[in-house]
Amino acid sequence: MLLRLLRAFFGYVRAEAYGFAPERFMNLLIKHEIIVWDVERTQRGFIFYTGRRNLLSMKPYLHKTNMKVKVLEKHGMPYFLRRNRKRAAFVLGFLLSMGLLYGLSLFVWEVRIEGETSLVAENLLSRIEEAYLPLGTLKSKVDCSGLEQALRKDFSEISWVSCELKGTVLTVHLEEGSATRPPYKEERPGDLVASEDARITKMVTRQGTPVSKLGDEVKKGDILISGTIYLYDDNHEVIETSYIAADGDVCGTCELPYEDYVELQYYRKRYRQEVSRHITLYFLDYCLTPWIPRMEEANYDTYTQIHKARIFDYFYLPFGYKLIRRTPYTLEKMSYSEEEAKAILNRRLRKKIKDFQEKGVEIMENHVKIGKENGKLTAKGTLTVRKSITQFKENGIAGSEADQR
Amino acid sequence: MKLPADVQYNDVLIRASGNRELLIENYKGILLYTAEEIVITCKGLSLRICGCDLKIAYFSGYDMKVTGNVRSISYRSNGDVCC
Repeated sequence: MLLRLLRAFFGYVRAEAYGFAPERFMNLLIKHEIIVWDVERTQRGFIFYTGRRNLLSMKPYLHKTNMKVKVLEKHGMPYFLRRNRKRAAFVLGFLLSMGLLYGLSLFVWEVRIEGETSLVAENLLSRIEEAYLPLGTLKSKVDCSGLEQALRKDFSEISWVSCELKGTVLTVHLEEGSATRPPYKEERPGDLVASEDARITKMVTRQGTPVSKLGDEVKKGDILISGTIYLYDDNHEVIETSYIAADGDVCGTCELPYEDYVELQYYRKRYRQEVSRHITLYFLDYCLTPWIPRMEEANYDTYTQIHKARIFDYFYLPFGYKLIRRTPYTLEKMSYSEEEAKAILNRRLRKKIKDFQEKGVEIMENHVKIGKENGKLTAKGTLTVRKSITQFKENGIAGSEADQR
Repeated sequence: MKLPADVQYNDVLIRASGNRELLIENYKGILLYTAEEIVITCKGLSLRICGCDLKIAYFSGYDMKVTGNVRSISYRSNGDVCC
């Protein structure tokens, strides 16, 4: 392979030597260490390959043996350059494009998300592009570990994240929730307060002084477990006060309002068969649309497909084209029957309850009633749920101060 | 000290891969080259390679490679080439 590259670089020829004494000529080549290869015998002499410079050094031996050489083919870079010496603009353009490609390869032009399930890739992408890494950032300025930390902080669902910079593409690999993080333990002194109005049904105090008890009705913000611990003497007088971070589980039943409605009259899109297509070229944020077909209809849906220019898989470039498809439609007035609307409301309510259950919220009672008002069917009422109602609130005493006390 | 014959006497060195390829070192020149017969001069003798589709893949001042379908390799004293 190396030999072939060297031959291509320095140039080589296929030539035919013919005349009086081919063997003598070959012996002279051997004696003077001139390398030839792929030697084929012909009627009048032989055909061989040799280097461009070797051909020149053969001249005296040709004369000596009364032989002649006819060059049949020329290969390699020196001959290519000579053939194309009048195409300087082409070479200049080629070099310029190479330089441009090199310049563009220094930036990040594409961000990919892999491994997301419940998180929406679009949200992650927009967050990354807005806050940390706008497209077109220099690759040398990308701090992958910093970005990983920032993403872990911004999205609590992420249990593992790794950023990889390859070509002009930044790929964010992530895992969600499969490895649960250990629960965050407060170390600053504070109380556990009620996150909403509820009646306490379960209470476990791990650390702190319980203030409420089972069956109590609490309002949002009421202290459930206090982080202040009093030490009493025999006369029930406080001799020492210490401040810690209250810890415990408090569950309560609370009423959650629920409201939903379905309009009995609605509009449905009736799409027409013809679809208009056009292409928009883009470079960074600049777009150029050579031609837009005329659209008779006022209403249409637009579907844009972005094709980014790229070389192989990981070398994206900041330009490309957008294929835009517009499908016109007319609005058709439709109406639901009460049964249909009721089925829709019930389906939405079931989904809401299922979502609650997935989050560990227990549904105790369902007081949602379906009724009709002002041309729409409404589902109104409350859901009685049992859930954790704790919320940590610092008591404003610094750790060192608390220790001293 | 026992040196190899090719070093001590400058003998021809032939390495054959089956009957398809011959690598010849320490040769002096080519006396005859056809598709059926190649005669190579070496020190004190000549080497006669017979076969069909014989071809010199390359030659330089040091070695030579012959490819093709080799039928026989024989040695002859110098001057006894024609047969």
